[in-house]
Amino acid sequence: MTTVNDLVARNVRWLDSPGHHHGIVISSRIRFARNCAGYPFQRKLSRGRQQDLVAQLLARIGRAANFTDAISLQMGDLTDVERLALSERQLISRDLASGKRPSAAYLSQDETYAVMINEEDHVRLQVISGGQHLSENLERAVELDRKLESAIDWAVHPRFGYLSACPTNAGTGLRASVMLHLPALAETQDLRQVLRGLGKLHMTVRGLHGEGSEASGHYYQVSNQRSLGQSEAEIVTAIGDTVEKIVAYEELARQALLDNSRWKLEDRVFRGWGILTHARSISYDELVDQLSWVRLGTALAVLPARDWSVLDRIFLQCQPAHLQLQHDHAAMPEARDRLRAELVRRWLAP
Amino acid sequence: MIGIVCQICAKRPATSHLTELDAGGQRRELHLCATCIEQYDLKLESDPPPIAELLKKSVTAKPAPAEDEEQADEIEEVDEAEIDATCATCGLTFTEFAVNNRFGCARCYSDFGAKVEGLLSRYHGSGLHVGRIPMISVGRADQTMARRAQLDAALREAVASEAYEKAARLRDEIRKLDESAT
Repeated sequence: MTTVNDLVARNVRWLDSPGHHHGIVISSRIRFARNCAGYPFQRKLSRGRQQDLVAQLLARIGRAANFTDAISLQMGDLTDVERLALSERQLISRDLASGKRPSAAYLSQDETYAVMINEEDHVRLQVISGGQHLSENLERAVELDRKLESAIDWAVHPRFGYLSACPTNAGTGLRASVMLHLPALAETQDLRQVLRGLGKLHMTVRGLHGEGSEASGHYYQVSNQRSLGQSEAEIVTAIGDTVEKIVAYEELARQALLDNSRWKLEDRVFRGWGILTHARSISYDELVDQLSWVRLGTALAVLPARDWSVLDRIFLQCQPAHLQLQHDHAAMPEARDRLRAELVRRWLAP
Repeated sequence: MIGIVCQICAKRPATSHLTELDAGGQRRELHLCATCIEQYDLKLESDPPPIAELLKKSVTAKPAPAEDEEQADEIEEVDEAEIDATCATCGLTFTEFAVNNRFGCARCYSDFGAKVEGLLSRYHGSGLHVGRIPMISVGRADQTMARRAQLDAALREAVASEAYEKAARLRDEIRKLDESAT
């Protein structure tokens, strides 16, 4: 049986085989919010009924989805750090990781599917993959949803579609998001304008860790704001079209950096490289910021060509809970910062 | 912070952000735009009142007319009683809903009537779902949707011709239909 520790020891496989635009588009994710007919939403369910619902849904989803090798996890059986590590891998939400109530998750071995049980909604299913593959992910999510609906009656309304605890998720229950790395747009100050344009298109931008998180390391998640009144395909197409445009802007901005202020760009990139390869202690926040420049430098051939999976591994494995689960003496932040610096130096060594 | 929308009108960008901790240490946030603060006379200048109180005010008070404001929703005018409506199934009041922007159960969507419809339309730009529905409810939903569309049209007509008694009857019928569908 796969444990959280087994998962954490691996690189995220879907990051290893990214789609086109590598270097700018990191990942794409489809998420459906679903609730069971006949049960109040999570906030109005007693703890006892939540436990009952989780048990029922685990059994029904397991049977209906016919997961052959999925990992099934009761959040209550995990430690705080294990749950946090799952959220660092974007397999469960921060809300589920907080472990405040009975909840569970099914995760596929390749980590592209995750079904969260008793999140803010009774069920949240997500399909995630590297690169821009929103349409394919949507197809896979719909296929999974079809299997689940053969065993579970979802709460639907004739006009409002799938009902969610939060009205901003009603209708399709769909949140389609793409994670982008936009250092050049941020550097050339054009980002603000691009983000303003997104608001007009009813799309939102969030930081690395979703709702409420700040953008660190120039990572931005673009997602649909509206989930009602457009079909799933329309939503996904609109996000895809917008992402294409943002990618084109980022490419222009990168070229502008190369053409107009190459020395400035090189300075940033080599400072980042210098810190990562020489620091004796580094926080995760600083790592993400410096790694951002190293990624950019690699993409623009300012730095010698390098296997992207090394950069992905640093990004993933140096997160606090990942370090704590895999290394002794990594419980205190100071010790973790030293360990992190050591690992990064080792992984970037020639 | 990027793209936070006012929690009262759900359309204009929020310019005032309040955060408070309740007795249980639970963080609560409220984001408001200048227009709603003025319209609902929310008095945030000196010592802001608790978030729950502000929201109650925004739900129960009639907004002061604003020049750029669209005409009030016709359906809302018919039903004054909906203002502090309670969901018959889970007991959530509309004020409680407004505090967290979370419903208590599927029936809330029907029991809060036109308020929900207005809210969804403002946020999503549409109050009508056009995407997938579960295969099992396809036939049933098609029939219900057709009937719902007829009733909607009749309700709009009744409101336009100021036949409020008829409108109230139609609204009850719509509500019943929605309940049976959820």
